Parts: sequence; C-alpha cells; structure tokens
Amino acid sequence: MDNQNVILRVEDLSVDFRVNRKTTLHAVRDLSFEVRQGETLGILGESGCGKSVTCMSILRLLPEKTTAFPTGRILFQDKNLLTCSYRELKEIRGKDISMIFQEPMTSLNPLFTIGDQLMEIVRVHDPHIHKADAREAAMNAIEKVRIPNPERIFASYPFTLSGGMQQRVMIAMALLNKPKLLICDEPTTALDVTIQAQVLDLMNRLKEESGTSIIFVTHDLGVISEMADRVMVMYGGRKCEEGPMTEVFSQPLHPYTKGLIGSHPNQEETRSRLVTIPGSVPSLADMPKGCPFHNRCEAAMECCKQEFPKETVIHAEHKAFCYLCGEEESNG
Amino acid sequence: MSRYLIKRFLYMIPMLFLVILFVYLIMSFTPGDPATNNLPLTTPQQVKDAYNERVGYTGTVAGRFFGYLKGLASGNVLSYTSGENIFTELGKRLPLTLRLGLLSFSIAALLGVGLGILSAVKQYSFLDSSLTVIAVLFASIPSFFIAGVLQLYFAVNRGLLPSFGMEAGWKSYILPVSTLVVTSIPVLSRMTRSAMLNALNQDYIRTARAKGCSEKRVIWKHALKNASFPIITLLLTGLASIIGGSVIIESIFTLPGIGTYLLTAINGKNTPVVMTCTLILSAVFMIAMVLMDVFFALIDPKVRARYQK
Repeated sequence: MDNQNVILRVEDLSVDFRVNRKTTLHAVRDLSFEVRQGETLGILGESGCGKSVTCMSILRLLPEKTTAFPTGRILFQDKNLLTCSYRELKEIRGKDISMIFQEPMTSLNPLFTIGDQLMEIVRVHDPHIHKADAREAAMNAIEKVRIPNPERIFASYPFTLSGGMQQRVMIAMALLNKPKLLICDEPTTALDVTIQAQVLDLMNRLKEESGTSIIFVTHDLGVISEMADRVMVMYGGRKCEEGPMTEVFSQPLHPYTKGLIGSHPNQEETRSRLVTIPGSVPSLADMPKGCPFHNRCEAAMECCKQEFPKETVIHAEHKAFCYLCGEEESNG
Repeated sequence: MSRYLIKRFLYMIPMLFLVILFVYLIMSFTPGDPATNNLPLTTPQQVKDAYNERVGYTGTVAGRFFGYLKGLASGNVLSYTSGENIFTELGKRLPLTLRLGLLSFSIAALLGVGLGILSAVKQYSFLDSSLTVIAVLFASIPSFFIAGVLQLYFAVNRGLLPSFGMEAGWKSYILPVSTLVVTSIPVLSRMTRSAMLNALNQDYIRTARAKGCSEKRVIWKHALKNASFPIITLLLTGLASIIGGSVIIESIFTLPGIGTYLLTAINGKNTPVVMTCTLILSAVFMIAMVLMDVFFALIDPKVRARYQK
C-alpha cells in the first residue's frame, strides 16, 4: 500500500470516559485504520459502538479536560493530532479537516445569520481577508450545495430553514476551505428519506469535484453502499471487519457483519424472513470480556470469552477480527 | 417593533394607576392617621385634629385620592410631615440612592457575571467548586446580618469606617456597597454559570470548535450571546430593584436616601410620599421590563420575527 496516499492514519486509538472516580468506560479500544487520498471510508455500526466518539477524537472535540481520555496516535500530515498543540489543532480544524454532524437543526448557532456563520469559517483561518471576499466565498459555497435563492439564505437565520437546507448549509460550510478530509457523522440520519437521497447525491458530486477524502459514519447499510469505497465495521468500540465495500457486502466474514447485512432487506431476493441478531448492544458499562460480540454470536467459542482475537488478514485489503476467520484461512 | 413599544408604554398608564390605587387602599385600610402616628401618644384630640387639618388629611378617602391625583398632574404633591413638595424632597434624596445602587450594581454585575463565566469555562475545577461553596454560603446569609457583621468589625472594633450616615464622604459608601455587592454576586454568578454551561453544551458550540474558532471566540461570541437571555433578565431586574432594595440597606446604615424616606413615610402614615415612591419604583420596573423585551428582540431573530408580523 502506498504510504503517500494515506492522509489520515489512526493507530491504536482508545478512548476512555471517566464517569466518576470508580467507573471508566472504554468507548473505543485499540482501533487502527487509515483514510486514503480521495476515498470514502464508511464506518458502520449500531448506535453506541464508538463510531461518533472515533470521529470526535480525530478533531479532539470530546471533553478531554474532564471526562474523555484518548490514547494512541492519530497521524495527519505527519502530525499526531492527539498530542499537537492547541494552536496547530485550531489551524487544522475547519481548514484541513472539516466535520458535518448528525443534527443539522441544532448544529448552527440560532443567533447568527447563515452568511455570518459561513463567512466565519473563512475568516477564522484567514483573519486578513476582505469582508467582500469572504462574502463571495460564502455565496459560492451556498450555490454549490444547490440552495435556491442564495442571497436570501445568506441573510436569513437558521430557524427559517428546513433540516435538509440546514444540512446543506453545514456541508457548504465544511467544504468552504477545501479540506483534505471531511468527517461526516451520520449526516443524513435526521433527514427525510427523499432529502437524504438528495444530500447523499450532492455529497458524492462535491467529492468528485474536490477530491476530498471522506469518513462517512452511519448505521444505515443503504446509505453506506451509496457512499463508501471501503467499509470498516465496528462493534463495542472495536473494529471487527474492514475491507472494500463491495467485498464486505458480498462476502462478509465476521459474524456481526453477516448479521448486519442479513438484517438488511434486499429488493432482489424475496426471502420470507429477515435475519436478526439476537439481543442488543450491551451498554459500555457491562461490555463483556474478550470479543464484545460473543454473547450475541451464534458461533461463539470458549476462546471468544477470554481474549479479543488478533487481526486475520484475508488479503491486503480485507481484514477481520474473529477466531472463525482465522480457522477458515488455515483450513483452506 | 416601534408600534409595539408605543403600545407597551401606553399600557403603563393604567398599570401605574392600578398600582397607586392599590397602595392607596392598603394605606387607607391600615389604622392610624398622620397625627396619631407622628405626634406623642398623649397629644389631646384637638391638637391632633388641627395637625391633620394642617397637613391636608381631611375629607373622605376618595376625596383625598383624587386630591392626590390632581396634585400629581400638576407636579405639586405635598408631604404630610414636612409640608414640602415631594418631588423636591425626592430630588434631594434620589442622587444618594442612585449613586449607592448603581455603584454596587455595576461592581456586582461585573464580578458576578465574570465569575459565573469563569466557573462555567473551568467546570469541575478547584476554582469552580470553591466559587460554588462561597456562593451558596453568601446566598444563604441575609444582607442585614452581613451588614451587621461588617459594621461590628470595621466600624465598632477597628474604627476604620463609619457605621452609619453619609458624613465621611467616600468612606461612608464602602460598607453599604460591600454589603450589596456581597449579597447580589452569588445569585448572579450561579445563574451566569448555569446559563453558560447550558450554552456551552449545545451542538453549535461543537460546530464552532470544529470550524477552528479559538476557545475565546467560542466562549465570548457563540456561547455568551446565547447565555445572555437569563443573565440580562437578572441584571435588568436587579437594576430595577435598586430603589426598592435601598429600603433595607439605607435603614441599616441610616442613609438619607429614598429607602429611609419611604420607610419613615410608611411609619408616619405619610400616604402621598408612599404613593409617589411606589409610583416611581413601579415605573422604573416597568421600563426595565420593556427594555428586556427590546433586548430580546435585538438578540433573538425568532423574537424579532414575531414583532415584524
């Protein structure tokens, strides 16, 4: 794999939340992955599996002073984001790495106009820019995300816009400084299905235009199949499988991935019943020892309860963390 | 918005009328009359009658009320006890009350809001917890007790500052102002802290940080503006109650301001003075409430949109 192509490399990221003096929750454990130039990496998983926490820790948006303690390394342009200075971090946020959040309705400040908030992301990174230039950049950005009547939107306040429009504004904002990496934390979850499709379409088009790499977090298999080049499946704060999107979808290896994909209705097949994964995601406070999935896994063995399996490399691109996969490989 | 404001100011007229009517009725239902309340107990009835006659406490209850209204319209309301125009007397006493009130209000506002922001930004730090403990402590001690302790220590034991009156110039202000400041900071700082914390936990603050805004910008621009609603409400209410709040502090330190004026008037059954003071007090309060609406409309586009309809 060409190192030059990797723009973000996460190594052994663990995020602990210290809830009180006695309890520490491990939201993310020993997570390593990378994002390459121009690709979309989908992070897939049920709620509570650590997807959002992973995203937040890249830009260090977690309450680090009080509760969240990330360890490991997040390398971006040879800089470890977890240890770099606040000043360096501030430079990267919103300029090299941008982020879009799940809740567009609350992610914009209600007391400032859309224009103000769009111009702000330009001006905090270029304090000497002329107001007229910032305005022009903001207007261009609004036009790019296909919001009708940009002049009016520029001067209006967030509460006058629908959720879909607000998410478009967020996308416009995130792309204003032409970031190298865009982190999307369930950007379409809060939107109607029709609006969802429009927004996804728009993001794909903008990605093609700008060549930005994207980390796309979602629990929606349909959405991820439209967006991602590669997929990383997470469960209980750990990675369980990673590989090219089409391969993971056609030949899932990890029992959890199999369950996820089996539970997704497919238009071509006419199965009578959908497969379900028994039970629900355990809360972080009582995550089982060993493989976090073992108590819901039909193929669980004794070793699954003892220790988390090592990475099984199927081929350079496709990896899984399961004792079963290792067996299959050694057998065949 | 301007139409709305004019309407609000016009509404004030009937409201103020109701306020003074209410105060007048309470004063009328309480026993006593100016002579009984102001002259020695043994004063013969004829002397009392003559006294009441002289000060204008004559005629029916309704008649005296309309007499007061007439006087108010011409700006010539006389005090029962001194026989002077109340507005002239107020003019002499108002500056002291305002100076005392505004001085302590500004100090309390700056410190209270400042400390509140500080504890919110440094939530769960040692500083935050210490400020919380101190705030709860001082919020639970009544102001007259604090005033008494200050008087005892600085005036009686140490003899550094005067314990009453206004004769010592700026030194006379120190104890009353300190009392007012110390008692009003806790509520202000606690309120500011919770408003700021609430704002800082919102999603748009995360967006601002993700944009690359400095922490300074996040706090002073994005969070404070959103937190300003409860803070301004509290500040304007505090500003409006300067005159009303002066009653306690001025009587503890025997200061010749509006507070003592009102208190003596109540004890002396000096109805015109009580009514005039209440009138001013409530007018100030109502104006402050209008200002609050104006402020909310200026800050919050949603409120503004409602007025534009």
